[in-house]
Amino acid sequence: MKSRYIFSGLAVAGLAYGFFLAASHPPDQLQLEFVRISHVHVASAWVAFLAFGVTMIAGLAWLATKRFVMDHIAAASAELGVFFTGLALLTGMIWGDAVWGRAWDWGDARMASTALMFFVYIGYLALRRSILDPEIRARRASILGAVAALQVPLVYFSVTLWRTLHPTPSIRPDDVTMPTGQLVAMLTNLAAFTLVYVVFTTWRTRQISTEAILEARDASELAPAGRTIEPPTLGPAT
Amino acid sequence: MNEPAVLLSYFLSYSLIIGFFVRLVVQDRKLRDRLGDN
Repeated sequence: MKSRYIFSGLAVAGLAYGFFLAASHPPDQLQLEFVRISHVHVASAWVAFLAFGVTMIAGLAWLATKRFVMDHIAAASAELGVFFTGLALLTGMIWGDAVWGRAWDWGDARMASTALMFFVYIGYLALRRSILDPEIRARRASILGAVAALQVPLVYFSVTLWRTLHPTPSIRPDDVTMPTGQLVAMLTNLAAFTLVYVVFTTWRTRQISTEAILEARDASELAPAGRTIEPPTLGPAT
Repeated sequence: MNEPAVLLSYFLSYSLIIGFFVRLVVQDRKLRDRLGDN
């Protein structure tokens, strides 16, 4: 219990430090002050990829082990993934409007594929809500989670596969095309957002497990009391 | 979009994450109450 609050405090402190670093580095030569929102955009997109990867792995783990905690991790991670994909889309549109002069372009491979991924995972959450039986829900969600995760590499590599409006990655193992101040702010935010994701997923998983216990209790309370009514057995009259 | 609007959006993005966390804490408390009631 206490460790949950300690890690939550660390995540919030990391986020505050990331906010401070991203707000205090010198403005970019080309993007001016607008560069600051790109730190939120990149970190959110990274966490979304991570979340959907975890949804797939946890879903497959449920199929293999049938342990419901795996299904609960998959559900919690998908919720977080949708939240951070939404944030990445929103901040990307604000940044695009300020720097490119257009908020949205369906011709851009990264934007279109990310939007598609966002709607597919909203569908995943809708599927979960539409099925009452926990086992059927977990099985179908695991399969959808595994299929939907195929989009993650497609979204990531879309900038190199199709050269459209989006820039290629600024941080590569062999080359970094970013001033040091921006790089430090970007990496700090990536770490802080990852910690935030881990903490939030832990909280949400616990809550989904508790909800499952309450659902099971409610169902047992609603069950008819006493013996079930059985039809009379017909036999020879005595 | 002008600079102040983008900087405000930048600030609001972090606030949204904190807001999500506050919602988690509130939801957690409600669930614990429900569990206690039963």
